[in-house]
Amino acid sequence: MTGWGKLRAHFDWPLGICMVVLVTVGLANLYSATATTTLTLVRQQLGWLVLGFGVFLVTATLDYRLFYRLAYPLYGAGLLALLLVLLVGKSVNASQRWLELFGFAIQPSEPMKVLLILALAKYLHDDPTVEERTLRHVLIPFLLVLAPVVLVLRQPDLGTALLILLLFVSIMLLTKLRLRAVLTLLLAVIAASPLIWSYVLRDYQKRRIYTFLDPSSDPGGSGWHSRQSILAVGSGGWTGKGYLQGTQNRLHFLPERWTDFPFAVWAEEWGFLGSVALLAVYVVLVLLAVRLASQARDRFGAVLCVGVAALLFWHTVFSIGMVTGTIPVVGVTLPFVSYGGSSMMTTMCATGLLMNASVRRSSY
Amino acid sequence: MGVAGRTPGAGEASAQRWLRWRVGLFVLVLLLGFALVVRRSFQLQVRDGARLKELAAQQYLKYIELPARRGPIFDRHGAPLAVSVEVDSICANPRQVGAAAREVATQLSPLLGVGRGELLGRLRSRRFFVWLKRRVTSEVAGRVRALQLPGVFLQRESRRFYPNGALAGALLGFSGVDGRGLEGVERSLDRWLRGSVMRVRALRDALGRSVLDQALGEGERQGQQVVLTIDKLIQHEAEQALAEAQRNVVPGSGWTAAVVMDPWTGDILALAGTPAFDPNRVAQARPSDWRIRALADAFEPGSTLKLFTVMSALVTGVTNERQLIDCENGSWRIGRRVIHDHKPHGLLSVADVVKKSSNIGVSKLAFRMGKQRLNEGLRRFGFAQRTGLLLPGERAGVLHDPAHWSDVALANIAFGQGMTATMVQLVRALAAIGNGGHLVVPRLVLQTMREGAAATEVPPLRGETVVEEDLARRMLAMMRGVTEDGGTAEAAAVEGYSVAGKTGTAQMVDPATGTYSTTKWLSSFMGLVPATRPRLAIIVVIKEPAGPSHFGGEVAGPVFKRIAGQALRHLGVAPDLPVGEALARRPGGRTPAASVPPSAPVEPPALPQVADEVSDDGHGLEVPDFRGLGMAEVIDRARAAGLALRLIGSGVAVSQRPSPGALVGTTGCAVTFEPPPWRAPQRVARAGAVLAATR
Repeated sequence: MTGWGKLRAHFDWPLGICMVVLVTVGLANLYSATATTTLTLVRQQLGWLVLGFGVFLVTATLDYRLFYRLAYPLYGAGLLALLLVLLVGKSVNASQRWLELFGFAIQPSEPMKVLLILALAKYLHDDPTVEERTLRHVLIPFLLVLAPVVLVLRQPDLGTALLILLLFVSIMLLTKLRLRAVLTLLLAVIAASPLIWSYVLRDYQKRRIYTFLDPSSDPGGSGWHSRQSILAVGSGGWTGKGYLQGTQNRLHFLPERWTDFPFAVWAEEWGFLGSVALLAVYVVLVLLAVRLASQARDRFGAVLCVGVAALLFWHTVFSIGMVTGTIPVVGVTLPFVSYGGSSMMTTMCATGLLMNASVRRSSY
Repeated sequence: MGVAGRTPGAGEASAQRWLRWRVGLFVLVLLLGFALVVRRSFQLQVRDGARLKELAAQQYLKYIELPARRGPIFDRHGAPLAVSVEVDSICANPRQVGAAAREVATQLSPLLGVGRGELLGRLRSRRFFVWLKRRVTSEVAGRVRALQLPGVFLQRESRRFYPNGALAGALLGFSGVDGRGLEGVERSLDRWLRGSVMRVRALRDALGRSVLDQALGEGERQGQQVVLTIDKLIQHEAEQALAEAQRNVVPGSGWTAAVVMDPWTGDILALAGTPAFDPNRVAQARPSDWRIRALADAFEPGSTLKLFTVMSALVTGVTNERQLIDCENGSWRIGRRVIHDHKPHGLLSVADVVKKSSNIGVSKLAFRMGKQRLNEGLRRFGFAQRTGLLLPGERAGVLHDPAHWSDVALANIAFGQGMTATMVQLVRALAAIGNGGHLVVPRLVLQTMREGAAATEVPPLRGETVVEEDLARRMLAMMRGVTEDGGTAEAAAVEGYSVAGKTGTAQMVDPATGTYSTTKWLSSFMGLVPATRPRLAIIVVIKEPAGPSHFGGEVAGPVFKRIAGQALRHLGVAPDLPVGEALARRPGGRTPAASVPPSAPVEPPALPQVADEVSDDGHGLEVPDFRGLGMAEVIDRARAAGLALRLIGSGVAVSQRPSPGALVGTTGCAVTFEPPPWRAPQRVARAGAVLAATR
């Protein structure tokens, strides 16, 4: 059976419906966030959506083994792109995250997350060890992760670096690690944090962490984003102010409201009930991914699904946590909802992989 | 083969169990994460929702205070003396200007005439709103608008305009940039003119731009219209006469002033002075220019005060007008001092003491009364107390405690030295003689109006009766001698009208020596016209006259004559003397007004009249085309052209006289305004949706 035939025969409807719902919410929300200024962003996002759906279809229908075989070369290409970003990248807001390609600005750190999941999946699949893994066994996957993390930190993009690390931790949680190894890793992180603080973090990142600890210290400066989004979310109340009626949103108090803070727009206009409803869709999506992982026919698929689940989970929790002032402002997108081509492509690609795994789980 | 080939074998059951346990843990972590997010959402939206909503509202809802449009000031016939027109002010939001501050400052500096560094300083502040230049001309506003600079806005504000230029300038005063009256009527009547400050609910976006929630309220919030008792024509005539005097006889630092009062109502018909002050050009003037001399300067009045000394003597009954007083041939010793008359007299009747203004005569009357009674008499006429005229800076004048008066002081006070008084006090006391003995309360405001309907009426206050009517009439009769043959002020006689007046020539204290100067004088004349039934009480004061004479009759008299003549004709008062007989009239001769033939055609006083014809001398100003413009633009253009303006009505200019392109001299141009046929509704489209939600 061709991939296309399999997809039609075994289409995972719950997964597809979750995706469609989130994409629709994202578009409506983007319209509300930008309608007071321009419709260009909505139009562009529509374009990305069409393209993203194509990517979804391709990743969902291609032969599974192709990804397995190409995992390392793809990972290598991703690293190369990140390297190129540092060399010839485009700067926006004092950080260099974009590559100019055919007139489009591409953020390679986004697809890198998926490519890393692929590479990790392949490595763990190929690694014959089934007994408890010691540190030595974790070294290579850790190096696989460290390379993009270092490159992303150089941009600098603290949020993405942290996200990649969490992705790694989530995946490794499912492999059998020795307790001693876990403890050693933890100690290493604790020992490294002062070094990271003084040598890796830039001033503005430190400032963000300071203002997170005390947001009122500078309400007009770096605490502004956090404060504004808290006000937006909070003023939504139980049922929200109604679609297109959010004052914080439409009077432009919300910063980055279509990329990093879309949840604030949503929460202000739809209230607590709307927020919970949206969250529920993400929960369903992530749980679907975890279930797929446990049903996967091999370890490659399992790791892949866990990786995607972790990706979606951490993105969602980070993005919402940041909007609600639970974690510092780090600039992480909300899957399907945030504006942006790279984010959309990555999310669609990840969902495509889930669909791929879902379609093939029963067809040995 | 492939991936499947390496699938862990089915025998590893324990590994499978282990994996399932791990997956379970993983799901737990996920759900915990989501639960935390939901909990946080609940905290923010449900538990703290109301408080955060309030905080959010504080951000975008703000109340801005707009000064209401200032009420106009009219003269008693409704001629505008001060009006407010809407003009643009340039403001900016520094947060929005941001990095462009340097560029914006460079572009605006030459346009606004504000230093680049100063602009830059304001543009770099951390505020959301700064003024760059208040009240610019329509031309500048248009050019700024055309630049379309980011973060630079135009804000409509009302600007005060005085359409008659310097007419009644010091009296009107001016108001500050925030719509507060600072001087003159603008200050003293500020509570009416200013209106209530509007608190307008406004939505503010993150850039600090205000999106007005309500249309600017007009109506009751606008300042009230104030109608003064001033008669523009009499005011103008007084100013013209004073200006001529200033030109001809006051070369140095002196000044002139005049007050015209209706003796029956206390209405101030004119309150004039020179040097002239144009409240449209405050920046070019000195504070002394807008000082209202008539009440802010208390001076030694000199002989004009003799009227009230004599009046007091009559009231106390120590004398009557026919009693003869020995005037000691012009020199009378009191203790170590000698009092002089400027001309030696022998025996004079009390009436002649007034007519000839004998210092020795009134001194003797003062001695007959004694310190206490003279003090009481003068105070009864309102000296040494403020008149209550609604103007800032009124002085009370000084009249010391009579217990401390020396004999010389008693004599001095009797002829107006050693005490001080203001012109308004003097003219009010004079009015009491003219109206049969009532000390009126000077009235400056007739009424205030709100949207054409009277809001506050200020009734004339008759005041207390200070002398009996009969005594007042006898005093009036005595005063008629002053402008007659042999009086001290023949030059003040008004053709066709009888005058009851009194001259004053006071020596001034030289601040350098502390003694009376022999060169600096304060010459004055005050009088009631027509003497038969006074319609006007007028005082004219000229400080430091130079020239052939410094005597009040010769310096201030002609000014009085001109003001009185023009004012009486303007008021349509029938002459009570045959024309040409004013000087020849003998005392006691009866020439009732009724017997006078219908007076010669009354000549309207000269005003800044509008030229009907084009001046053909080629030096005129070309009249711009005002039609279709708003008042503010008309004013801008006229000012640019140096053209005097007369504004009629309000709204949009519909006609003008002379026509565009005509050449006029200094006469100026009359522009008629009419309200535009329709007015675009003031609405803020962008905020519409938001407003609907927040109401």
